[in-house]
Amino acid sequence: MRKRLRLKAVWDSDLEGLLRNLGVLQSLVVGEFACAVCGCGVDIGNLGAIVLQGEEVKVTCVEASCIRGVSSGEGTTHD
Amino acid sequence: MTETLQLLGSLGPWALLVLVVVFAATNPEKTERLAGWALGLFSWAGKGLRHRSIKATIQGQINTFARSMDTEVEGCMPFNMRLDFVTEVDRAELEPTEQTVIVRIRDRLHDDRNIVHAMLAFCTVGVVPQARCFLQDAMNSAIDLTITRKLLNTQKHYSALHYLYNEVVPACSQAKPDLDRFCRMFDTLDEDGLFTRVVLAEVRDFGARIETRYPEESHGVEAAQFVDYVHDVGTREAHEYSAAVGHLGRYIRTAFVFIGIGGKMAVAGETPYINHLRRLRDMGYEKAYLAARGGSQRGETSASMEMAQYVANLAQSTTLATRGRTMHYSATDPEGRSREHILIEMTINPITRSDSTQQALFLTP
Repeated sequence: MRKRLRLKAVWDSDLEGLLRNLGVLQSLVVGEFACAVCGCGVDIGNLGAIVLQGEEVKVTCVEASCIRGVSSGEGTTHD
Repeated sequence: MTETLQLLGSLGPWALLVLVVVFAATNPEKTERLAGWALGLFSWAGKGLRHRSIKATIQGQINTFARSMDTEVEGCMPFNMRLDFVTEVDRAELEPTEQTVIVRIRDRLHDDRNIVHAMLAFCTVGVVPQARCFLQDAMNSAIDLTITRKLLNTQKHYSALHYLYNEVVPACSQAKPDLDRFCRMFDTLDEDGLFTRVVLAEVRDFGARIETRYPEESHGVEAAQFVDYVHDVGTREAHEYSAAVGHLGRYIRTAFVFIGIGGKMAVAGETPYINHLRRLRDMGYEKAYLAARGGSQRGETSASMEMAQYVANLAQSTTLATRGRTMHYSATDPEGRSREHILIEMTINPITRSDSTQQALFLTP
């Protein structure tokens, strides 16, 4: 049996609940977040991934290049 | 076949059940994919079934592909992927220094973004994992995009390919100017059958060799130079001599030995190829790929391919090199024709005292 790497994911339908749990739903709704890779504005409509590091919550836009970028460890500290 | 079916019929439903269990145990990835498809038939029944179908389909597609890649080149995609869906996160459970990425998955059965996003996120940890930190960013990204393209091609997922080409690749290229160059080279090498068999195999070995080192810029440069060399090999015209003998870097010391000129084989037999392998050993090369093409008709073998096998066996029997993987595959030649190819991996044995004595004796007039 091959070893499995776990990739965390969230369903669209559970997204708001998760963001509320992380305490960032309101900030995201009012447009306070920028993509951690490209720097564009991110709201619930164009959110691609959520990045957690320590106490910090970052997000990326829906661009696959940004999701790949943040998964490979790229990303600035926009938040 | 008929006898097998008759036997199964006589054994009844239990035999079928045993067959299903054996298939599921030996092909967990394909079973998952089939389960995803089957669950998809009932996705109208509720969100739960739809979610399970989407999850099983994504995992099944990616894991079937990862396994086939790993069968071709062991260690290039050594893991399977498991999607862990979260509804809430307990921050206390997370490592404070490690980054946790949660990818958004759409709630629709056929959303191209799901497979592309999941695959790209998986590639960053699941493709040649031992080498990634030593490679240039643009090269890593190009490997991920090429692997994702191969996955979508294999699955004939054309709408997702369209999304990848029209939206993902241009956005990635804009951020990294070198990415486009690498993507084009990998595309050509993939067409030539050298991307997985040679580039990924060598990058994997490169990573394994320097795993304990601190990543330096020079490591990335060496890997990129090796890709340039293989690209030159892949794009050279028939019978054209390559300017470089091979790639003689600090960690990658690999060369190709082409076997294909009929006149040369007829006059000198295997001697020029064995001598070339000896020269490579003397120059410090550690690996050689014996490469030959089949005839111009589809599926036709050739004397060159037989010669490659003969040279490999001879080199092994004389302890000049140790024979590794033998790869038979179809790929297009520079004229665009699909032809049979053979590629034999040879690990060149370092020169020994008896070798040098023999050479000295041979050279003495």
